[in-house]
Amino acid sequence: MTLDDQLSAFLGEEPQQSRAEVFTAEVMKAVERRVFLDRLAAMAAGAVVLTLVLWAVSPALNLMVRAIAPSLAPVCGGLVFVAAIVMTGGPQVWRRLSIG
Amino acid sequence: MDAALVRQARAGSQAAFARLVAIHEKPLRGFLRKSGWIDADDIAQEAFVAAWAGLPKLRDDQGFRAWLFGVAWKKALSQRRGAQRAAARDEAWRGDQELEAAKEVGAEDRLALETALATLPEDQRACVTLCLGQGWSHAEVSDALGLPLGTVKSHVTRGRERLLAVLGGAS
Repeated sequence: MTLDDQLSAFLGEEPQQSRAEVFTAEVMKAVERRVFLDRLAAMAAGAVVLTLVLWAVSPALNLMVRAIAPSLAPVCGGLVFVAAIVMTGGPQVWRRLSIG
Repeated sequence: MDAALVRQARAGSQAAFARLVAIHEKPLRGFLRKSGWIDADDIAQEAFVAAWAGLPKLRDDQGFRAWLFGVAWKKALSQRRGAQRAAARDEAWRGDQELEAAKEVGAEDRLALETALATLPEDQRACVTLCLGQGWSHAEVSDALGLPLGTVKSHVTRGRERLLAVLGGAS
């Protein structure tokens, strides 16, 4: 064993194994937090942009909704009726209709 | 092997990044500890998180190791004040971070080497730790620490001489 070998062994010492898994877990937890915050920031930015776009085109949207609302009213009424039955009837209704 | 994992991690795979952490955490923490940073684990953790966020900026996937160590080194230098504060932390916490002692080095030599290592300038300490302890090339160290190649070479030569002197073998 030369002095250089001893020096390399000393300088190359690594942390004990016992903390390795804990350390990796801590890092990954921090990474997950980072990913979550990044997604949250992206979604918040997207929501702001969508809000601004809808606000900008709201006059046109108003006109459009007014124009199509009368023709959609019967369909919407029907859908609301079906939704009400499904919600109140639950699984029994689904079974009778052979969907559940 | 790093390159494939880096590509997967960059595409969003946390499992691939966890593998990179598992591969590099011990050498990185060992390097930071030997370089004199008491809060080595904190710095290493921050470096890994910064590396995750900075993966899109990494140009050479194969050079992940040098890049990661460079990120950690910059973090360590920027947290010098924090490290000084951390010196006051309790002994139990420090004990938790102790390195696995190499059997090749006796207790007296270890003490002498630790004292001598602490007296080296921080750049020199980092260079000898990476080149002599972890077997990096001078070019890799130059790349990771952002030091000129000639400086790295002279740091390693002088640092080695000073450390060998305490082992009784100055060349």
